[in-house]
Amino acid sequence: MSWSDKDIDNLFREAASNGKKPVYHDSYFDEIANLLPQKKGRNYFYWTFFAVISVFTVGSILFVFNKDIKSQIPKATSRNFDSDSQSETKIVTLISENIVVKNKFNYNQKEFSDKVKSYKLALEDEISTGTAYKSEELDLKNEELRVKSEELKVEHNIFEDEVSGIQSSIKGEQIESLNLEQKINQNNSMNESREEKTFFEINTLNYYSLSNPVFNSDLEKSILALNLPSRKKKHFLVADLGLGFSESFVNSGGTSSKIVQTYALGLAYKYRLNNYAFEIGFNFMNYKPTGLQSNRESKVYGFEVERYRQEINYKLISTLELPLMISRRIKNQTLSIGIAPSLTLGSIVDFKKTKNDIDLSDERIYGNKTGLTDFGLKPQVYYTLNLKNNFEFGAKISTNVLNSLNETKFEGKLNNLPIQTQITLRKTITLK
Amino acid sequence: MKQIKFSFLLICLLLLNSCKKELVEIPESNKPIFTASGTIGADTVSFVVGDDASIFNTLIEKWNGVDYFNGFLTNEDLKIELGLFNGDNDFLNVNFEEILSSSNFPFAELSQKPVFEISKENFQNHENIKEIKWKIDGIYAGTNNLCITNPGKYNICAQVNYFNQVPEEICNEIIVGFVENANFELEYLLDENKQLSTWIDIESNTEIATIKWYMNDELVSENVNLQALINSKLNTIKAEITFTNGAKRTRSILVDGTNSQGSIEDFTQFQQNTSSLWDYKLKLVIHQNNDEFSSLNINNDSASFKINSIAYLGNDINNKPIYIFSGNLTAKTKSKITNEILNVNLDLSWGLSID
Repeated sequence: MSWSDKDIDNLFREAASNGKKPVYHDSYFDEIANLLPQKKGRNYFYWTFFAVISVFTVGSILFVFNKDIKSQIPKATSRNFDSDSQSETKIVTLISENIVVKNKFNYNQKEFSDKVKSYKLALEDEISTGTAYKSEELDLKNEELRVKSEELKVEHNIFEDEVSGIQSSIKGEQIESLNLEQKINQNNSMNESREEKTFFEINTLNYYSLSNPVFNSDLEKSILALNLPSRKKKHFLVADLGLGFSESFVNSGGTSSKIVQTYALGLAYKYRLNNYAFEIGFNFMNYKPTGLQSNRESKVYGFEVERYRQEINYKLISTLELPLMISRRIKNQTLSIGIAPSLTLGSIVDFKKTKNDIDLSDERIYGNKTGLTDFGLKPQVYYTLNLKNNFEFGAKISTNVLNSLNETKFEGKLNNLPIQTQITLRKTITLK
Repeated sequence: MKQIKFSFLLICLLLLNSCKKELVEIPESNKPIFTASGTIGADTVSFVVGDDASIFNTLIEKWNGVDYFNGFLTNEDLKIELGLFNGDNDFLNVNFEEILSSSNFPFAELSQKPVFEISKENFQNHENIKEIKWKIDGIYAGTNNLCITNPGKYNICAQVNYFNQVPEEICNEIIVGFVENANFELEYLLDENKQLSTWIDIESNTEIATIKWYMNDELVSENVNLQALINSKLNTIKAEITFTNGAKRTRSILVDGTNSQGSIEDFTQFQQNTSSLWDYKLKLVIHQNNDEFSSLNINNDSASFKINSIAYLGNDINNKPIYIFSGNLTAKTKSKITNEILNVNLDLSWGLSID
């Protein structure tokens, strides 16, 4: 049996009355992502270096010269689709896209209907075993798919024209299949399987969204996104709160404990490109050493002797890290690696000073840098698990390849590569 | 945008906070500066100033009017004094760089012979003088006779009481036991017309650079010789002389305008010649067991302080430079009480303030 446009239309309408909620699996997305062309030979080092410079430069310029561009972008919610006629329009749009796909890939009606059925069955199978679809997830999925479709459109710019052409035809004109096929065939470099899968998935998701009014707004966004100017959401602000432990800075000798408490507060800019993301930001890292002391004595001979003694008891050491991270998202997990140059901000110390065994001062000093090195360099690995509301729970492990302390100021041998671990809570905020 | 602004503000605050803040650095330890080790008598001693409850100090003292650059090391049991007498005491300025280039400093010895001795009878008109009361640096030192045994730079004043005239006082500075770079006498001649002629009779190999003549404290001439009419009273004639070698001295006489019976000539001429001058010589004193052993009380011709190095240390609280003398000292000291002699052999790192 051959499939006419009417049959396809009926198929969608029939399914729309099913009322079952679809379930989305990240595996779909990953499959699609894996099909995306990989730009070989890209030098991420230079990219990262460029990003560092760019963020500081452009960020500063934007901060000063920023102009509100909200009014320049049409709002997706400005269009309403809550009437029957509007629902009809959505379906027409979907059908038109399916026709494009069908024609683009030169399916005959049966092949096309088999494809639709196979996706439909796969989704229904997951619906029967899965949980309810959530609005945020659908939104996110639609957005990611839209981004991919936009990229495909950029690569194969005939597509957008075809969509609008088909839509025009649906509204009153005859479809000129031959002309469309000719146009489509001109694009010999198109990655058919990838585009095919993307559009089947878009339309199938949209189709299921239609079955539940709750998702109308998501569907609306998805459809609008196909026709509106590109608004890629690739820029994020991430905030980190971390608690953890570090090996002691001093291995032996002195009164220093073997474990040092740490806590950190971080803020970073994140640029996401497909499943990869790059981060640059600041991490305010604090160490709470116990028993870490730098005692200094001197004996100044002259007409008599003056014996000086200073006891510096470190209470808190603060550093400002500038982490540069690259991350790979796999399903709902993210693995990041990077390096964080650090600048020692100072420390809080109890400072006691005596001269000839007579106390001269006993005070708490803020900002002391005596005994501390200025710079550090910390390779780190960071794993996070996605939670609700764009929160992530993670664990970070790092070490400092440059000593934090000046060896000459402390008793004992410094720990050259102190392992530092932290558990973190991360919040991602989407930027405009 | 608020997030970006907040981030920017946070970064600025953190960077501002990262300004370098160091505690006050602890003074650096150093090696002992002043040390003394060796033997004092039969005892072996080793002192490190700062350790052993010992301290060191330098002082510039006046020793009979002469600068004495003294350094002393002391602890609970012992005190060692080693000082250097100044020299060329009639010079306005002394070139100490030349002095400090010396590799050996000899020791001063206190002679039993007087360095200055005078009596009323030494004056030509002593028959008209009832008595002379002598004062040294303002302190009464005897009547008619004056005898000084210690070298020094003194201001000697003679209060002359006449039988038939009002008393008068005449003062002169003397340098005894030390080098005089300008040795001279103030001479005078008074004729019957009360015409006074005064001049300087120089015995040293130098010449007058400038001279100022004062009559009764009034400047009357800057010529080499003074020619003046005087009145019938006792007139004080004073000459301030600067010599071409840098020495500067003053000399005064009394001239009686009546009949010269009350005149007092330049009494500095009565100082005794001495072969042992104390310029830039050392004095060593050991204080122990409530006794004082001094190098001045014993012949120390064979003693020496052989200098290995002299280095500038810094200035003292009076802004006088302190020099570190490192070397070996060998000398004898003699007790003031028991006459016991202590042989002293010390390796020293010693400090002296020098003006």
